[in-house]
Amino acid sequence: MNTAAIARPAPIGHKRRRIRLGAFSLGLPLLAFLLVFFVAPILYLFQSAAYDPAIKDSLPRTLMTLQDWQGGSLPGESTFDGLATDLRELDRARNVIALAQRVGMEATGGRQLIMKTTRAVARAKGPVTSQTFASIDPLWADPGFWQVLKSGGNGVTPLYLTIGMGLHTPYGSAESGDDNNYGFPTIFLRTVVISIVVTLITIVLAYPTAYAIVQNDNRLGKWLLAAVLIPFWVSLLVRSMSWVVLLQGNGLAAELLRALGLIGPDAQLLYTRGATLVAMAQIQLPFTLLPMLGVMRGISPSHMRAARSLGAKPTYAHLKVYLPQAAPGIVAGGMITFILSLGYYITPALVGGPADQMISYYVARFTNEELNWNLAASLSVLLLLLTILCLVAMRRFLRLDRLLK
Amino acid sequence: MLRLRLRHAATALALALPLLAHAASAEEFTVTSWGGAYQDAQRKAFFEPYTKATGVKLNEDQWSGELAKVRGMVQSGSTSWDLVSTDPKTAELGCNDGLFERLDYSRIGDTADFAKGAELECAFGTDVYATILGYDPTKLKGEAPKSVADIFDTKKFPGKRGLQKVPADNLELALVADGVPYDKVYDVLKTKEGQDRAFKKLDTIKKDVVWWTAGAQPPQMLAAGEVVMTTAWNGRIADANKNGQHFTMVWPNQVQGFDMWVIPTGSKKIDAVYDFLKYYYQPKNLARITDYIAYAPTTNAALKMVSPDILPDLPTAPQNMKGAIVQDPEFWGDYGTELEARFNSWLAN
Repeated sequence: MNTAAIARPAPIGHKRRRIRLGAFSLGLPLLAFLLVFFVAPILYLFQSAAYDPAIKDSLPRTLMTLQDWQGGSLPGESTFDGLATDLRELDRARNVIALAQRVGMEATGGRQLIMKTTRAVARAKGPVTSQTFASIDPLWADPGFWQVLKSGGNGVTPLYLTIGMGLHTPYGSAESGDDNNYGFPTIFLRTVVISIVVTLITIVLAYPTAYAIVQNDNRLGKWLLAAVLIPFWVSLLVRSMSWVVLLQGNGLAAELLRALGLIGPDAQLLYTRGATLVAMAQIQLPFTLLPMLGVMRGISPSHMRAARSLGAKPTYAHLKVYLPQAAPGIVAGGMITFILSLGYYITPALVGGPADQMISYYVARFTNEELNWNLAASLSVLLLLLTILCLVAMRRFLRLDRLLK
Repeated sequence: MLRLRLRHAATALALALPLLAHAASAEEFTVTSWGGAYQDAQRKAFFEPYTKATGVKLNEDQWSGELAKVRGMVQSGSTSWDLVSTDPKTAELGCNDGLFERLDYSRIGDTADFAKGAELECAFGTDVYATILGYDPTKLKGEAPKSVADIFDTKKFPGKRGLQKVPADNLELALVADGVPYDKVYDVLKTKEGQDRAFKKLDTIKKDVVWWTAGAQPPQMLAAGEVVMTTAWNGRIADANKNGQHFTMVWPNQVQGFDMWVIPTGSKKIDAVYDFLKYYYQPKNLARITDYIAYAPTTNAALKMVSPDILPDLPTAPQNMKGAIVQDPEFWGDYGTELEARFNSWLAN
């Protein structure tokens, strides 16, 4: 019971509801904005990761005749008839690529199979039968392959998510091996490892810096803060590019290290894992440091003085009194950096080598270069899930709930 | 009186000019090429003279053979490129995928006179270029490389080396470096074992490679000391040498390809493009490319017009043809997509 509540009684019934509604309406523009530009795209992403109608749209007649087919033996002539019509239709519209791309992911050599068969069927004179198809490629006489086509005709498919998780084995890859799978689990692991290392580097660099800034409430502290903040205001792209300039073969950093004899004449700095870590840590440093600084500013100097006066050595006092109070800042800063690092794309793309690229690079690659938007969506969904998983794990093991109270 | 009338005429003309300009702009179209020294040469040899002769304006764009860009345009029905310069493998892949229009040769010129392989369903060659080996003799001391495939020899030539970030050319050269005769590479590469063998050879230099994507990069990488040697397009190294560098070109086992014109499916300026192509393939015009870059024109009639001092620099000159591999568009059309996927997957790990 505080005094304000006594002076002005709490509104009752409909009045209270109206006040609550009024407060809620102030947030409406933001809610609408989030719904349209955040929630809806994510839902669409989830849908694209598990839905691809390429086979359904390309082979309507074939799939119709397959409805009652149970597998085990080859489908009847009417199916091959439908397939010939569907493929001729695709050839006329010059629209066979979506189907070829999809079948290529389902079965080894599937892409070439579709391209080759379409060409042959479109040019064939006279009737096209199951014999014709079998002579174009023996795969057409394989009931197992037909099963793959039929289940692919659903639209809803686990294909892209299983590729992302490295669990997909294309049909027929047992004999010939699967060399085109990118090894996404390795890349996800790489993403997490790089993020953890970057987070640790920034914490190790930021903690003493933040401490120095708080302890020196004078010129020096202000200069230190400016040194952290000024790069923070420079665009990410510009900072990444400056690292390229610094680290390249005859760049400043390379020349300096070479002159000091720290690296050999042929040592490569640019396009390495080390370059990726250093550049990312530099960019993320303010994100780790600023929350630390905020928390450290709130720690009363009298606590340390009290600890010293009770006989604690400086290190012991720091570890027992200061560090626990600063911990929420370390955790908050570290978490921001860790989560932002998981999504890094442009910095590794500029300063890293092909084997240093993180998962976002492949999202961009499949979106812009291979135009495989389903796979891009599936990788994004998996990255989102991975981020949530990491957060839950940290909450459990770092006891965030207690620290962030 | 006369002066007054003149002034009226001038006013009328001034008013009409925007209309004239508008009429001309209806004809303008967009041509996309490889950028750098090659596109500069094309501009001076063809684009500018054509605009001067006909008033048709050519807008320029550039790319590095990323077929996905064209696929994006064609699939979304918004083709904004009307004529694109590409290479045989990209032309054949795009043609199979329906991204390029099938060509009507009767609207271009006499195809009987063309170099073998320069005429595909959707594309035809404008000039012959070669992927060769370039190095800086002041930095690479000791024994000189004797073949483009020597880029795989890290014992004799230690240090970083540049390769184009695509499977084409690299897989062929890997096999040659592994002992396959240069005229058998495609027979071997058609088999699974042959592909495994080529990737295994690439494995041996993977950690020493700096990858390039645009044709302008190799001379820059050599100049910056980023690499000790690199594959490069011969015209780009020759151009750098013209501008004061002294790089050495290694010709044996060069990989030859055509620069080719394709028309993206759904271009709305097809008639204007065919008019331009007709102009382009007149022998005296086609031969003009050699004034600006060391690439050989694709018709015999044009080749006869090339000045004799330039001939030895062209990829087709007899002394440069030792062990030359000619890029096989049919092979890359059939196997390109899967090898590309395997190559990118190989790079990622």
